[in-house]
Amino acid sequence: MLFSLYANVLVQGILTGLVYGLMALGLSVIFGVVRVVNFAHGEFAVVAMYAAFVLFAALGLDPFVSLAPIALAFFAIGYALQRTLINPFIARPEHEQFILLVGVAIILVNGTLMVFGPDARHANLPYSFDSWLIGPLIVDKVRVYAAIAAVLVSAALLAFFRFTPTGTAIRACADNLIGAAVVGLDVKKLYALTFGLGLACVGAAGAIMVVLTDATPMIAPAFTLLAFTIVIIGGMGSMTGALVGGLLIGVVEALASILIAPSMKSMVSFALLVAVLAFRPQGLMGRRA
Amino acid sequence: MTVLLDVRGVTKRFRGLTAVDNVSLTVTEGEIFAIIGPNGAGKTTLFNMIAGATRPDDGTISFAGAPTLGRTPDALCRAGLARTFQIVRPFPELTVLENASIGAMLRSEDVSDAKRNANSVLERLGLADKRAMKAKSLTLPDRKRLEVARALATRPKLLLLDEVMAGLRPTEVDRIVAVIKAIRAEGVTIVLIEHVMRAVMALAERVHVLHHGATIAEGTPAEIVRHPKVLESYLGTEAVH
Amino acid sequence: MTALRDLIAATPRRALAMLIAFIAVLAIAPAFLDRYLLSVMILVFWFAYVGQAWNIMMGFCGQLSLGHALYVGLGGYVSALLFVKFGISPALGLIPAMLIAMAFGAAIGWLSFRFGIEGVYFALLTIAFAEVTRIGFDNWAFTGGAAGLFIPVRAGAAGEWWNLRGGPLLFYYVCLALMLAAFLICARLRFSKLGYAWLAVREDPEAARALGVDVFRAKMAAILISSAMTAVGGVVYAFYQNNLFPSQTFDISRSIEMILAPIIGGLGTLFGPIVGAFILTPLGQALIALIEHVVGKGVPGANLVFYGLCLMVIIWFAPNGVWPWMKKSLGIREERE
Repeated sequence: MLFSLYANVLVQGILTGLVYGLMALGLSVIFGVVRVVNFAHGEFAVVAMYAAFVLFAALGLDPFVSLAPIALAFFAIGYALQRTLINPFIARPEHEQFILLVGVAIILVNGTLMVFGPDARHANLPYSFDSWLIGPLIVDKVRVYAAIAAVLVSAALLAFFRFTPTGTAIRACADNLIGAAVVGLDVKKLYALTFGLGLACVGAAGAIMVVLTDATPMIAPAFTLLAFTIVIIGGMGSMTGALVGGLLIGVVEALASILIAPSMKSMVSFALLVAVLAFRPQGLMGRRA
Repeated sequence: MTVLLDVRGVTKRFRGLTAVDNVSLTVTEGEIFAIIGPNGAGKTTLFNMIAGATRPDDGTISFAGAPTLGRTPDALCRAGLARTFQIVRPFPELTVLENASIGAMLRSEDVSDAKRNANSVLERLGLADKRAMKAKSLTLPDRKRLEVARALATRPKLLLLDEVMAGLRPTEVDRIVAVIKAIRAEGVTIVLIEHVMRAVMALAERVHVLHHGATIAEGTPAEIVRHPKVLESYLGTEAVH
Repeated sequence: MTALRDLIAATPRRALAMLIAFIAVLAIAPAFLDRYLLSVMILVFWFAYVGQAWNIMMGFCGQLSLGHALYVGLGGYVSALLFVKFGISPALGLIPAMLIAMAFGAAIGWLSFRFGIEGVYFALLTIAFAEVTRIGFDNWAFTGGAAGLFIPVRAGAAGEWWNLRGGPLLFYYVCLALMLAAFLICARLRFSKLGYAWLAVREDPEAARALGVDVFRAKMAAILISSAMTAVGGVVYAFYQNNLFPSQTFDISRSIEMILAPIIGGLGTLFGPIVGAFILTPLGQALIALIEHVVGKGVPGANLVFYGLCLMVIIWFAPNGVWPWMKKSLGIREERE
């Protein structure tokens, strides 16, 4: 009996963790390359959630389908944002960059509050309550689809960075900026591309999440914090670290939720965050100490 | 002749690269001691270890008779060890006077007292007329002088100067040489890392030469300038033969 | 007090005159303000006050705290609980409130500064602590949990100023006094040895160390003083609102609201938080009133969008804030000798 409870919780944690991982991946990509701390990350995720919700409510579009156009739109937004707003701030002191993005976050979160109000929105799909029975496990269909979608998008991104010339160029920028410029890479464009890709991840993650959880403006800061927690634990600048971190946090929170109390699950994540910051600041898989 | 600084067998490795290799030297009170060597010879790393900013992997360092291991840079400064940075680090948004005053505050409880002391140090370094300027608007030579003034304001027993002459014109070099001589005359022991041989010849009583992290020679300036190994390290094997 | 006299002596006469006139105006203003405007001014003074407290950490010492609502909440809850459960006046309850806030500040400080957690990582840590505390209070029945803590308002109690029981007029003067006290405290600190140590740490901690500055002690002093001062703001906040909810009091949006005035006014300056509060709060309230008038009802989030825009505009064009720009226009020359 107990085994099946833990097994279910574990599976749920893994599936949720994969989606978290996708969201964190966006942050990791942005920070790892452009070195900008995107404090508005969670806020972008929430905007994506609302976008998916609106498309679902108005056009009946399944978020797993609208995921693609949303990710594309977010890519464009990220690209534009980097080129116009963020780029001039790259040379500025760190706290000014941070505050700029705090400003963006404030505007996004309160903008959604103004438009949608504080009530929760959720995409109730026809198969939202279906589940599969595999032995002792009761697995929600939506969670599996969500996890699969997250894995596909993550894999696509990783493949891009690993196997395409542009992806390699971006990694070169991350490794050695001066070298990259010397070799003739258009750093500004690559930065913009990277920011676009990072936000595309967030867009996709948001579209997926609206199926799993309620969208309210108030969860945005929690998502930002979650994304940062994952990236720090997994390792700043490591893409696989973000995914591993996401899985870890997903599982940890799921277990904490039944072992302690559901409302206390983030406390365990924070404890992990503090521990990592204090004792292994480069995270599990980070390369820079 | 009391030994103020005693470095014994100090080694520092960075991931497979031995930056400082079993270096030993002693500096007696009141002398001007120079450390020279080609770029990358490990001189600044040595300074960092003496000043407490980096821990040696091997060896010991003693300052004023007490080991420096485990003591923070600020504790060492309080004990009388001041240093400048090779790449100058002024407090950019603070004025020249405020920069120097922060150094002087180490020795004064009273802020206005510290400012008075800072003012006199600035005068000695020729920065008094720029005291109200923000450090970020200073030229490089002035920043270097501020770096020295700030460290001097802490009333050190031992002053570590890291390439303070770099990038200065010969007249400016001469000026700082005069200031350093005056500082020493007041009883401050000076260790300098220098490339500008003009300054080394004018100031140093003893010179220690590093190459690839290891000691290759030590002696008076006249001696090391003729030393074959030293010439080899600077000019290459071809030049010597 | 000599420090105060020195400060006054160091200020140019014109500026001093303007300052005195300003304070005098604020002191007699209630005679001309209605209840609504009084409440706006209370907010102005309160934000100026907590802005000053936050400015000590960030503006002077360079440590970015994005979880300062933690100290507001702790100050409020501790003093409120002592009053509601044990009948202890906030005039006394102030002390434990400050001490507990300082304990949290010390914990955060020790953890961060001891382990070299800086910059963005430190900011995230402060957010995390505030969040954890929020969740903790949400689940703690003793404090009322998510349902909140209420301070009963008894009709006969009005006039008990030591219990902070009174109308807007009382809070107007309390907050005004806090704002002025904070200004004096910050001025005193800024030009003290500790203040200079803070500036050195802000500008370049390594260089500061090389000059004998005990960076750890300086940072700890900053967080302790800042948290204690902010907690006092929390006490006043609790007794003004008469209710506390973890989801509001410890919320990150509160932390962010608190930092807007000092950033927009001028980080690291003495007048910045005050100028910032005087600009932002009335404008924000005016915007709220305008929207209610035009749309017919309140639109939550509108004034924060406005603040967000202000923040971005300022950080883009005048990252040093409004006050330094004002100084130039008013002809107050920088006389930092």
